[in-house]
Amino acid sequence: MKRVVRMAVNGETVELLIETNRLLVDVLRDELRLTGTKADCGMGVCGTCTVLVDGRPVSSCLMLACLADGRTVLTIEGLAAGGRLDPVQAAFAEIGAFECGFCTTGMIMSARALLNEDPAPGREEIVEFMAGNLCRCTGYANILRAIGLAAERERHRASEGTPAVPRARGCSSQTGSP
Amino acid sequence: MKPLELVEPTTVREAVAALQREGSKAIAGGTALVQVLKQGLHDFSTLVSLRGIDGLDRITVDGSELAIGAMATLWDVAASADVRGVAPGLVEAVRSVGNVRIRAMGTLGGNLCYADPHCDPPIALLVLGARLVLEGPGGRRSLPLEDYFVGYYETAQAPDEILVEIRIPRPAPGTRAVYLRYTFTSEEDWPCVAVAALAGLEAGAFRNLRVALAGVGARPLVVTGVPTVTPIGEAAEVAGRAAVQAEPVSDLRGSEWYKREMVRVHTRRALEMLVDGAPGTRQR
Amino acid sequence: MTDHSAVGWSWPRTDAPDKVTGRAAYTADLSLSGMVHARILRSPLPHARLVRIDATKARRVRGVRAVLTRDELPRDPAQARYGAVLHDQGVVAIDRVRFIGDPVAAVAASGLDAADEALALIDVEYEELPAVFTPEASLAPGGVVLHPDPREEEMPGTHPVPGTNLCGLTEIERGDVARALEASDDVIEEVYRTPPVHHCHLEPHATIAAWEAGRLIVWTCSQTPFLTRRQLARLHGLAASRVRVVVPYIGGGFGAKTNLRLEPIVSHLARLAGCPVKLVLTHQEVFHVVSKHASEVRIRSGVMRDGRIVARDVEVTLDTGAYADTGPQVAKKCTYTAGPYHIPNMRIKARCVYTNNPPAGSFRGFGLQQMAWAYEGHMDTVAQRLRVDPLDLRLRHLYHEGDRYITGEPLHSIGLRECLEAAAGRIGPARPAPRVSGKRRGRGVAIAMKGAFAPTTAAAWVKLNEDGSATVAAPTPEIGQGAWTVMRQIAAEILQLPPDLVHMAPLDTDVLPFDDGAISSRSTFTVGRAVRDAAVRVREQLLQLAAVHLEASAADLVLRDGRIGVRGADAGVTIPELMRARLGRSGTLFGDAGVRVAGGRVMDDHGGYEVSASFWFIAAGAAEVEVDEETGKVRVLHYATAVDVGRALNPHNCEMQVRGSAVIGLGQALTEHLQSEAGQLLNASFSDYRIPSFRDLPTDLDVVLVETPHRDGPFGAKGVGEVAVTPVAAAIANAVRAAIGVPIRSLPLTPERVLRAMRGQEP
Repeated sequence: MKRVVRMAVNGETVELLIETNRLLVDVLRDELRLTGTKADCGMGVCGTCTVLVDGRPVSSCLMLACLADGRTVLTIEGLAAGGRLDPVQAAFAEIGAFECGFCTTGMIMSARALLNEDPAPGREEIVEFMAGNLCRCTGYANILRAIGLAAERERHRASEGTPAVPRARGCSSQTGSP
Repeated sequence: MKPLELVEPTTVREAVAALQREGSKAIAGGTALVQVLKQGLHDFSTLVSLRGIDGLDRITVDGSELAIGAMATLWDVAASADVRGVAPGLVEAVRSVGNVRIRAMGTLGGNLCYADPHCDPPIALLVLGARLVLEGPGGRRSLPLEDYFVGYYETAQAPDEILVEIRIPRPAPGTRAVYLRYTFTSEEDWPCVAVAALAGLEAGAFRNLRVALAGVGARPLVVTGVPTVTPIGEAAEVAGRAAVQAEPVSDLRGSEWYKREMVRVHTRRALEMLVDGAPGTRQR
Repeated sequence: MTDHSAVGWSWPRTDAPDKVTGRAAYTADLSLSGMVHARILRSPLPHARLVRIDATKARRVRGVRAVLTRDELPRDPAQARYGAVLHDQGVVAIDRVRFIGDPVAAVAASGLDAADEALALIDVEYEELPAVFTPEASLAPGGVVLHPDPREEEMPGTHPVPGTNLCGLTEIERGDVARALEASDDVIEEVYRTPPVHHCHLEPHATIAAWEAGRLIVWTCSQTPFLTRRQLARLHGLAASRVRVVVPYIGGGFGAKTNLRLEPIVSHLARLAGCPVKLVLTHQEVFHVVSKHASEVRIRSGVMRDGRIVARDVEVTLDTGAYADTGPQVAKKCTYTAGPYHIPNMRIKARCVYTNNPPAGSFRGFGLQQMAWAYEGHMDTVAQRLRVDPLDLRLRHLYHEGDRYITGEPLHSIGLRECLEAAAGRIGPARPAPRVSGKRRGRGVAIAMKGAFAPTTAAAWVKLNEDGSATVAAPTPEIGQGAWTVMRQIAAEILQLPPDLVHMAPLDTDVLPFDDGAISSRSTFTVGRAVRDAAVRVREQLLQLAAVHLEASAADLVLRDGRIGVRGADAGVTIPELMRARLGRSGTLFGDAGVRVAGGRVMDDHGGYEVSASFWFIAAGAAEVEVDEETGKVRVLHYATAVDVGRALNPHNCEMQVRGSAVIGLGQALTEHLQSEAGQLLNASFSDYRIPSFRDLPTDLDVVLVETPHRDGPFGAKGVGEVAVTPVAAAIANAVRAAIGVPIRSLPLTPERVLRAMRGQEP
């Protein structure tokens, strides 16, 4: 059975006629060609398909697209407004907080949601919020650093300062808190 | 996935009516149900979404009771100051469910209806003496949560009933609550054993001590036979009682023997935490 | 860094813009016009004869474009079977199914729902056969033989034993082990075991295939595009050049994406359907493709009262599951894995055994994880028996530069002592651990040494474009390790260009030279050398042009920041100016190079020796743990690892590789175990197979990069990726042993296993 679903995806209203049994992740990837959202475990565990619905992070593999009707969806493609990287994206790029990249877009979306909730998260808060996003390549430490850096920058920006940007150079030998 | 119809009622009455139709199933946050749909091992063809029902996600509190609408998301429950004020142990339990995405999507009502015996919130609610408000074609009824869970993924809710609200009596002043969760593998895993405990503390004794266990039976278990006044020094006896009453099975998260041991250890630790006044934490 | 502008410092990863924006395209993100979608029907039985398969009803389902069963495969079994070492695996089941999950048929349809509907309508009749689930049962006399027919060898030299379930049997000996054991003061014998574990790369296997004018084009997440091409060409009876393999970004592999995976099924479906076909495995299916070998390592050491280990006898048994995959090669590699210690008499025998479990194959370390688990646990047992400090025992026996390995090959660039001392130093001196009520603490160390395989070859080319930028064509996939960043750094270093002026050609076998692939941590060392040499050729040409243009001697020219100047003079010219002036408006400079890393038999005055490794890389680990006395749960407080990378061309990338590898090791040490019952996997999903999360990290995890430059590596560099995973489990287990006073010889160190060990029960 098909239904008309209207959602605001990355700031644009889209109207689609889709089967009620389609998942949001498939509609985003196959219908809207927003392939930055990845699909892996299909059970809400890995976090690669994380998108923000009405501002909160969800597993798009567990959401029927028809139940996103009337809601606002933000994917990784909508994050770099006007071609300018979101501070979280910029921090991931600068620190090099990724390897294969398959978890990265979901990580960034979760981190974005975290900073929307809590602009100054401590290490514990970052870990608790991000724990549902899995990475098999990096050992996580640099992802923590990147999120910490993004938070710091946003706070600077909010207080109208010019951020001091530590460059990822040389080898950090300590896990270190962000 | 099999083809599905979707019905979106705007009142509980409409929802109940929709559930009368054969092959109908209510969907709340969908985090568990969509996985069932994916497996294709189901016989329903119509989903009745409860999302459009106004007020079903409300959290209210008065002098005697905390009421959580069944459609309140786990995220909202965990973030609610009202919930934290009345039931800090519940907050800990809810924060332990899945991950942030699951908590943003999943609802407290859905979590109870799913009736997985590993789930965190049910035992925190059991020690609080929570009651459920269910509405069916014949009207509303109130059911103690203890009578709700029947077995693995099985509840006393009729197929055409809707879980409307979870009501939690305000505990007596000075009551302490603990939620203690122990994982066998990753900290992100389902609990091997979880313990919820609630009691007042008076003159070196637990008063009205209630202990419930998750992960060690076909349904969440309330430990029975705990005396109304239990001296703190007898925490080990309560833990022993819990270990005897637990009905664990050997699986990926430990053997039956091991889980029973863990019930003993973590029940005792939960009671120690009650004494220490910690609101509840994951076991590290 | 000092004298280099591009290598030796952490260039930002060049794939960052793609990966943080979601633009990075992985195979599953691609879509071709007219493309249809595939699903696989898998065996529900662990071992059965395929009596009858009827897909008539499936073909009638609306939207179905092709159904592949054994009937659609070439009659000649040689053309219907493939395998990385032995051709033992049918494209789909031919005469038998051999594990639960073995592909039986496949469907291509306009949509996945139609494909699923068709799968359910395929009628299969099985006749169940006896099944074996352990090597012991598999090798019992008179038992069932999984592959009774002779199999062609893709890779000779692993000695399968026809008529048995032994698909690999290799042995190596140096000195006289029997006599040395006899002469020892004491012989210490132990058995160490590891369970099957899964790679858990996040990107599921994905392949798209299309036929165009008799050519097969495949987009696939292959770590080994050229091996994939060669094996696929053979399967279809084509010349290799009639197959084109394109590799987009790969979402991790760790060995699971080598050789052939989905390509045989998808290419046959595309042939039958007459249109492009895409197959992306489900998460649960991925667990059935390939895993790491379960192992049993029996080890006997002859020791002398003065603390010397004089002899060692090792027997390795690997469970490779239903198909050999790379198993026989892994077994052979185990015999080349003698450990980092100079033990004059040593024998290693390795067996690779078929069972009716899902197949096992390459996994980061390629046998070394299993061997290091045994060797390094055993070293602590030996130390205990000899009443010496485990660290001292290790330091005393480590190889030195120039020492002869078990193969006889002389060892070069082995920073063993440096790694071990650095890792152990981070954890602190061997003082008694502090007492915490209800907890026991302990410290442990381990070290492992891996040889990257040899022989191997690589080639690359570099072109200097008319705009002054360079394009590097290096045939190594970007699987997350950062190879493309490092290749660009190497070229940039030689040509003295900034990062944004060095591009990378896409990975396409039509364009690039042959390469063994992103395996065995070989890319930087081997492909990087080819890139270096190719860039040097471009640089030579450039300087020749400049010498003419600037009327100076080539020896006086200085190339820096895209400009060529003359030493001691003001004259100079930028690269684009020079190229325009000397080559016209559309000139290009081009350089190519090939590298051959020797392997196999080398003759010398002493009768020769065998070269098993192109280079050696080393990881040491040191752990401090805390064990809960009541639960047995192990918490790693501190893990320090030191890895000898030769020369860190990109320290950040090295650190990421090491840290990620260490955390995989942590998961395997403490929790990971792909469990099954009678061949049925019990935890084939992330919900039940838990990999480490943000929450599961050690409180501290230190990475130390040790640099022992290799004479042949580009700027002294070696490989990095695999080795850091290998000592982790043993280091942690040795720390647990120190904490609880008893050894645990089977992985993982689950709380229950540890608790039982503490209570003196059988784990």
